[in-house]
Amino acid sequence: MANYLGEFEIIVLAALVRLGDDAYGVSINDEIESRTGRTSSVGALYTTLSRLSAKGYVRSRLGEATPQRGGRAKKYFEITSEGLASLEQSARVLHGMLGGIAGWPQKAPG
Amino acid sequence: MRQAPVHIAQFLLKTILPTEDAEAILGDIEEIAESKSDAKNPLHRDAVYVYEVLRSMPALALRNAELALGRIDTGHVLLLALSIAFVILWERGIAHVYAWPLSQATGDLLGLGALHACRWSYIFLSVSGLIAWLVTLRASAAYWPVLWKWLGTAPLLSVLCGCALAVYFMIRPDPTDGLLHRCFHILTTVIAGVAMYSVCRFNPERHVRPSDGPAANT
Repeated sequence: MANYLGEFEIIVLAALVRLGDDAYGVSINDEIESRTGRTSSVGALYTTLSRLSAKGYVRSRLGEATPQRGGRAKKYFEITSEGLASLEQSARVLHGMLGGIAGWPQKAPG
Repeated sequence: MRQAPVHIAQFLLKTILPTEDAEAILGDIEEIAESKSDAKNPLHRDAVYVYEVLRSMPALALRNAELALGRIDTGHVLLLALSIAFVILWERGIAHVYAWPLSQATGDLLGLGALHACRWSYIFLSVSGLIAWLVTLRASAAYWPVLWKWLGTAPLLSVLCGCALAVYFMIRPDPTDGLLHRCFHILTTVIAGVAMYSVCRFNPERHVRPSDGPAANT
């Protein structure tokens, strides 16, 4: 059975793709806010990342601790090949539904 | 020096989310508080910090519930039922049988009135019930590590659960006889029987943490 992505999951995965190696809590939230205007709490972001991790779409590693963070380490996230495939699938589904509607983008993703 | 609300917020967050993610989340919130607040005003920084923690609480509570509840199947629910049934049986079958005579004998020996004997009895019931509850919960931990870890590392919730049980034992009326009492015994026996059946059928190989990856969903 296909594992469909929710709206926020798509946004988070897209942010991971955009950020590459520098994707951690704060930078992901900033990326989402700057591109969508949507502000989410750190807790909401980690909840989604946890779900994506359970699905095998995201993997994480601990980074360096900095004084700016109170000596706590960053947790970096990276999209997996399964996550990328699922994101492309979701984009195709969205395009299939929205494509052709007047005023919507016509270019197919991927 | 950080203000008390910051420490309380940190404690609450770690209570709700007792995993390694809590440290990363607190680090992120620290970074947000540093960037969004007036650097010359530590009070403002702490206010932003506490606000961000409180804002994250609902989602984190949901996530924690997912981690625990996501692993529940019929066997797990019935294991919990077994624990509850064991506590009830302990309280009614053992503690209740011995508590009253012991309390009465102690009361007579010390020259205490009936009220004092009654209080001693309920204290005995509360303590023994609480111990039985903890022992059974620990025994079921082999099958339910996530819940046990959650309870074990979330002291506030554990204490609240323990207090709730103790209060129940302290305030409940004496159900020595009556229809309710008999129904309770029958229900306890049924729950215990079904729970034992589920324990016999339980296969721990089928249960892995959601964080173990895609295989967790298979």
